[in-house]
Amino acid sequence: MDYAQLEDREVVSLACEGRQRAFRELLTRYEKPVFSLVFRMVRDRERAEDVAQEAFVKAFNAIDTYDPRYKFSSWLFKIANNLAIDRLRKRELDTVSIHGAPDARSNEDEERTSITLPSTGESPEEYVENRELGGQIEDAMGRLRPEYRTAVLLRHVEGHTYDEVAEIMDVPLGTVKTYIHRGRAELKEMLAGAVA
Amino acid sequence: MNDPSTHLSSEALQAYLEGELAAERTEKVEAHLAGCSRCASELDGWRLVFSQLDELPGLEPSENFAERVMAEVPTRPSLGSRLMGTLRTAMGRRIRNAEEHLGPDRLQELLDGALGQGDRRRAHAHMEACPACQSEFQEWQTVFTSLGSLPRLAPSEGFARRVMTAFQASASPAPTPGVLDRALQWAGAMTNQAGRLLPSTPRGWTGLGAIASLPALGVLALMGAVTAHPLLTLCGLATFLSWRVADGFQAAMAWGSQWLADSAVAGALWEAASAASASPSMAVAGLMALWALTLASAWILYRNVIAPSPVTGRHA
Repeated sequence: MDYAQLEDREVVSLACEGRQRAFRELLTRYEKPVFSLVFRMVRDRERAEDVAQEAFVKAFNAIDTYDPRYKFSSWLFKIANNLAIDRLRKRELDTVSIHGAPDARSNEDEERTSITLPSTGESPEEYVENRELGGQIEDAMGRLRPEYRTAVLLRHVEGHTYDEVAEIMDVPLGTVKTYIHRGRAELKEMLAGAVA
Repeated sequence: MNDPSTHLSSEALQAYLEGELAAERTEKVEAHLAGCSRCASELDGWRLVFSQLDELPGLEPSENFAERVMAEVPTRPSLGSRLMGTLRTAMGRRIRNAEEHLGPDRLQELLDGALGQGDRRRAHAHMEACPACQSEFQEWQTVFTSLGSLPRLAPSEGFARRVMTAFQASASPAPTPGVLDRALQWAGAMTNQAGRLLPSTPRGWTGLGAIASLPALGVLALMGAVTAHPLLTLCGLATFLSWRVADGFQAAMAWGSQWLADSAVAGALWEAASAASASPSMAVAGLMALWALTLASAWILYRNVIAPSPVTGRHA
C-alpha cells in the first residue's frame, strides 16, 4: 500500500489500527508545517523541536479521540499551537504588543488594555542575528503578540481559511478576523518603520 | 375553527368573500359560519359593503383633463443634455467615492479575496480616483507579498526518528485481555466470519433456504414412509409418544422423592415442622417472626426503591 497516495483520514484510520507506517506518514506530511508554526511562535530552534515533538507524541497517543469530521491538520495544529502558547506563557517570552485588547472600542480602551511584558527570550536584535528568522518580516513577526502571530501564520504560511483558523485557535470567526487584520496592521507599521 | 368562542377575523371574512382562501380553509370557515350566528351576521355586513363597493359608478374627469395633465409632464431632454447629466452623476459619484477612503480593513479584504465582485469593482474604481488609497493599497500589497514569501522551516535531521522513538516509549502497553474479553473478541470474529458467509442477494438467500430445508424434507419423507405402514397410524404414534412422556415424568418424580428422603436439609426441615406442630406456641412464635421479617423487608424495599429519600450534597 502506498501511504503517500492516501488521504489524511485514511492514514489516520490506519494509524488507529496501530500501524507504525501510518504514523510515519503523518509525521512526514506535517513535520515541516508544525515545526514552522512552533518555531515562529517560540523563536528558538531547540525549544521549537521539543514542542513540535511533544505535539506529535500527544496527537499520536490520542489518535483514537480524533474526530474525523474535522481536518486532521486543524486538530494537529491546534495541539501544537496550544503547546507553543503554554510554553510562551511559562517562559514569559516575547509578548510585546502595540495594540490593546481586540475588543477595545476606543483609543483609551486600547491604551488601557495594551500590555508590554518583559521579554526573557531573545531580544529583537537577537531575532535579526538569528539567520533562519532573520529579515524584516521575520523580525516584525517576532514582535507580534502570540495570538496575532498564530492567526497570521496559519492564514499566510499554511493557507488555512478564516474558518479553519478559528477552529484551530478555538475562537469565534470575528475574533480571528480581528487578529489577522490587527496583526497585519502591526506588521505594516513595523515594515514601514524599518524602511524609513 | 368550529369553536364559537374563537370568532373569524374580519380579514378572514373578507378573504372568504373575495375567494382568496384555500379549499381546506374555505371549508373550515363555512363550517364555522354554519354554527356561529355572530360571524354569519358580520359576514352579511361585509357582503353589503362589498356589493356597495361593486356598485360604485365610474366617474369621468372634466373636459380637457388629458390635455392639462400632458401640459404638466416634462418633455424628454435631448441626447446631449442626457449625456451631460450622466457625466455629472458619474463625476459626482467619483467625487463622493474619493471622499470616503477604503480604510485598512477594506484594503485587506480586497487583497485577501474576501470582497464580492461588486465591492471589488467599486474598490478599484475608488482607487483610480484616490491616490491616497492607491498608495496605501501598495503598502498592504508589500505586507501580503512579504507574508506570502515566508518559507516553511524544516526541523533538524533525525527529528522524525526522535518523535517516533518518543511516541513508542510513551505508548502504554496494551493490557492483557481477560478470559471474557478474549471470548467476546472470538465471538465477534466468528460473527464477522459468519456474516461474510451469508448471501447478499435474494437469489443467494433462496439457495441457502433450499439447502437448509433439505434435512426437514428428509425427515418429513421418512415420517411419511413410516406412517404409510398399515399397522402404524398417526394416532398410534401419538399414543406411543404420550406413554413415553408419562414414563419420563414418573421417573423424575421418583428421583425427586428419593432425593428428598436422602437429603439432610429436607430431614431437618421436616423435624422442625414436626416439633412446631407438637408445640402450638412455638408455631405461633415462628409465624410471628416470619411476619416481622416480611414487614421489615417490605419497609426497606419501600424506602429504597419506591420512595427514595432526596439526595443531598453535591455531585463530584
